[in-house]
Amino acid sequence: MSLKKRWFSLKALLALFLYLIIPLTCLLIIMESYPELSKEQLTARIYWVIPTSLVVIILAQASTVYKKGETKRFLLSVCFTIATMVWMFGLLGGGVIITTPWNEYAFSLHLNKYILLIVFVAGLNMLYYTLEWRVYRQEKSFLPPNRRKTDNPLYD
Amino acid sequence: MNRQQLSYFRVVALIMAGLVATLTLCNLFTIATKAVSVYLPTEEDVHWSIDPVQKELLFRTSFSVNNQGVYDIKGIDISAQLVKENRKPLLTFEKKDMVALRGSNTTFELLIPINLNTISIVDWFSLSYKKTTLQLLLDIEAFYMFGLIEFTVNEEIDVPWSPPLLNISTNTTVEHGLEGVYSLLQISQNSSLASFSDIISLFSLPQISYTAQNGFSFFLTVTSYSETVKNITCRIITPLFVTNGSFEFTASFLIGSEAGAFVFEMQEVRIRYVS
Repeated sequence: MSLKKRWFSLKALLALFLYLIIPLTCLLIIMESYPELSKEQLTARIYWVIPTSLVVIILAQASTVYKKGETKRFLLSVCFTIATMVWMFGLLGGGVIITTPWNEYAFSLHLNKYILLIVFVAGLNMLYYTLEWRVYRQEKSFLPPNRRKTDNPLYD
Repeated sequence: MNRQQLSYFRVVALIMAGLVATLTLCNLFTIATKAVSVYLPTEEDVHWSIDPVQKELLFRTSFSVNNQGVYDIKGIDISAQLVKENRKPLLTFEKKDMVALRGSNTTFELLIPINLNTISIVDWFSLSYKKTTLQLLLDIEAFYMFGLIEFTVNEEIDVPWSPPLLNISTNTTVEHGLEGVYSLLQISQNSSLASFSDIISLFSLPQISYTAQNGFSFFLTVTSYSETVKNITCRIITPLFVTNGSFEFTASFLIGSEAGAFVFEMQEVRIRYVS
């Protein structure tokens, strides 16, 4: 079985769309459609999304370079999950409480439970990466050491 | 755990991650574009009236929630407290579990009745004649997105209060008389900077004898004390709702000018309970 070599992994491509292209498009649409909104706040979000999403994409790509079961892949995947958490946290305003002015009054949005949901999902992903690392590491120990990289089913 | 189970787990974890990222974007969009917004009442939107039959002071106001978001806004709880200038609470009001459905603009009418029996005599007397600004302390909570996001607001809204005695009758003569009494009380409190004009206005006070259906009586007698000084006697009988008795308030003043100087002399102020 021969595998076609791709420059970008599926994980990195998904990250590119989900964490950079779609949010950036949304923010630009909001900026264009609602000129009365604070441009500073939206620009700050854009400045947040671009670098953090690039880190997410690089980590997503880097983690797929290594084989399943390798510690480097596991660590990069964990860093990827943490980076996505940071990305979401920043996009929501960078705090547990967001204050937004409505009709001259200041309203507070408490995101404690929502942040907990993000942490839970991040925990679920980390659990997956941990299980992947352990399961494939055990299987890897049974493979012959000189097996070719491209024929190895442990590659994703 | 085998590979098959692991791949299922991966699918779940990926879907959850994608879902949370999408929700984050949707929430950002909803908040930024003000698709969900609340309009609180301003000073002009708070009205009050007195119902002597029901023995109630009724505050009326409303607030509206514009929910163009994806989810219903549930568990809207409102807690209001009306306080005096010295922060002494007059009433506490709570309304819970209101809902603003998605795609709707819902207005919530707030009718806040205060049973007059629950207000102390001192507070009631002070409200009866004193022009002041009360404060409505609003505390609103609501849940969005299955309770994952909580909205809260704590605001203070000024409620200008004019004495109900001034609004008790549409009769112009009675209104003038009551305004005169109000001026007298203000002068006696020595808190009004406009006391000079108030004193002048007292010279035009008419004699009044007024009795309302509920037993409220108001008498104003103006007699000449000297050529330039008048004696104004005011008697207000306020029936009590709690018992069969009433409070009788009597005040007597000398107003005028003597030897080129203004005269304002309080001769008698008396409050007594009449059964």
